[in-house]
Amino acid sequence: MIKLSVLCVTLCLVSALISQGSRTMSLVIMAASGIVLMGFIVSKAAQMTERIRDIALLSGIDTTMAAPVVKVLGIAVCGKLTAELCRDMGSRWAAGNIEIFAVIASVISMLPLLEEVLRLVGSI
Amino acid sequence: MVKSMDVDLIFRVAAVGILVAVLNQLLIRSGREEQAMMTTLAGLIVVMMMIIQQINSMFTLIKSTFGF
Repeated sequence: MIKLSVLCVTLCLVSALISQGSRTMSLVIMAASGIVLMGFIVSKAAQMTERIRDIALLSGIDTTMAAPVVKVLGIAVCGKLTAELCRDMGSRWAAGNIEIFAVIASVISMLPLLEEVLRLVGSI
Repeated sequence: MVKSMDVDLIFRVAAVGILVAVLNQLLIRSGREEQAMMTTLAGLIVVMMMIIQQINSMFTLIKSTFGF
């Protein structure tokens, strides 16, 4: 975590330095760094999703019930990081669009879970 | 931890950025704004070609991790 923090601060300083000479290139560096670090964060999230699936299997919950939870987690992580990157690059409307779409995608992903719950309630 | 290849990639991108920024300033100071724009454009293309592979592997990772 400390190395990641140091890396992020270093990249911000490099980007600030380069923005003196070329604003475009500093934005490109921010985007490139954001993409690489997002890849790292998602690779760490993979351990979490594996654990969620294992827990779902152990507890006997149908895996189709756990899949929407993991999907929404992924949508949230990607939406948040992408929106912040767009804000950094000065495009607030793009960030807003991404956040709205992330909410819609999350709701769509959760619908099967809602149907399952309603079916469960109906069968009681 | 962040794979060393990724950190190298970030710093290679930063090196291209610094080089383009310096050239940009030199060309602007010597009155050649169009060439400065071309230099920035060239730098942008070079960096995009460097990170396009990283973008692809990240999307693949996201799909496999979150089950899309």
